[in-house]
Amino acid sequence: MIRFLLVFMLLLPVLMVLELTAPAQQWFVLPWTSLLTRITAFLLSAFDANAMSYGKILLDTRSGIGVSVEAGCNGVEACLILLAAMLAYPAPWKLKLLGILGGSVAVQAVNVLRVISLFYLARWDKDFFEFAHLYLWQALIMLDVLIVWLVWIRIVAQRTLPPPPSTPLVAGA
Amino acid sequence: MEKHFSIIGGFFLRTVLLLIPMLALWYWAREWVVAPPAWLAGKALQFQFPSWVLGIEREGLHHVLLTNLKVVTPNRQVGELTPEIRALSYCYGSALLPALLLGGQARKLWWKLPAGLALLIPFQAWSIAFAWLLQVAVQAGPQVASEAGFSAMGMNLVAAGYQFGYLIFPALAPVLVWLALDRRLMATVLLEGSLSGKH
Repeated sequence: MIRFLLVFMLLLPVLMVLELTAPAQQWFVLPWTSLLTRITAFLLSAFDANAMSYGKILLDTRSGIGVSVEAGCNGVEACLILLAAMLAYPAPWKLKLLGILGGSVAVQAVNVLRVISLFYLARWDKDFFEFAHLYLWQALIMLDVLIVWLVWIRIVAQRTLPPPPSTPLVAGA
Repeated sequence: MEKHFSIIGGFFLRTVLLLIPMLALWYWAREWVVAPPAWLAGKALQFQFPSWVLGIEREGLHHVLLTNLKVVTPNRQVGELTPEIRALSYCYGSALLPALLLGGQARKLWWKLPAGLALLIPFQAWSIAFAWLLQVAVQAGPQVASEAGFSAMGMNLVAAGYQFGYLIFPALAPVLVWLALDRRLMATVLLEGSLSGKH
């Protein structure tokens, strides 16, 4: 556990600083944020004809009210925390890779739900929007990361850990 | 959800359901929740920058860092820089941690809960301190940054410290503290995984 925590605490700042560099922002974070907004607008268009995306802005064309998907709302940091946690945990590389891919999809799927809910909350009530945006969804996304990681370490244990002995060992006569 | 994920599923459901009342309670007690980390952040900055940090002041839900740094407005009026932050934005871990401890059915809550909340305070103080520093070192302009003694490297460190304090610590710290205080759920997950293993 101590080794895991140490590696995790070393990896996370490295990944965060890498994310903040101009090339990472230009080639990954900003395109991803735009894509996330487009995916959300596409899903919304199934039942809301007034929703459209413009860059990282999700807009209601009827009311003119929209939400801008910013750093912290694009799920990138949540995925980086998951990435660091999976890389730091002792597991075969194949399981790490599958966990990172599957886990990132799970985190981003919940993040799409966050953006959709905030889009409607912004139209409905500013105070509820602020509360959900600043506190509730931040906690829920972290909980999502934790649950994904717990499911993954269970799969790792299932594939790699030997089961404990079922009967107590008795000293030979 | 498959049966073998029921431990994690139960934990998730309990934690989500508990998070709502915990957030309501936390929001009700918001003025008390933010007081210790804001005080600690103010003291840390006063200790680190005694020449320009004068103290802190609370204005409703906002906390103001009092400084003697001079700022010139566009109409050439001179004033003192008083960066203002909403400390509550960095303190929602104080609602998430009790939800995790209760959702994970942790034992000996009588000491784990207060100890966990106390352990969160330095992380929250980091976030608050760097939110103030960002305004001084980056947002107030190069003249104020230079007056406060920030080099280019110092400004970058403040920006990185702020990103950590804003994007990572508020959410991650309660999970790390929960793992430090109660690893029973994690141990159960690992044991159950190894027992159902495909060896």
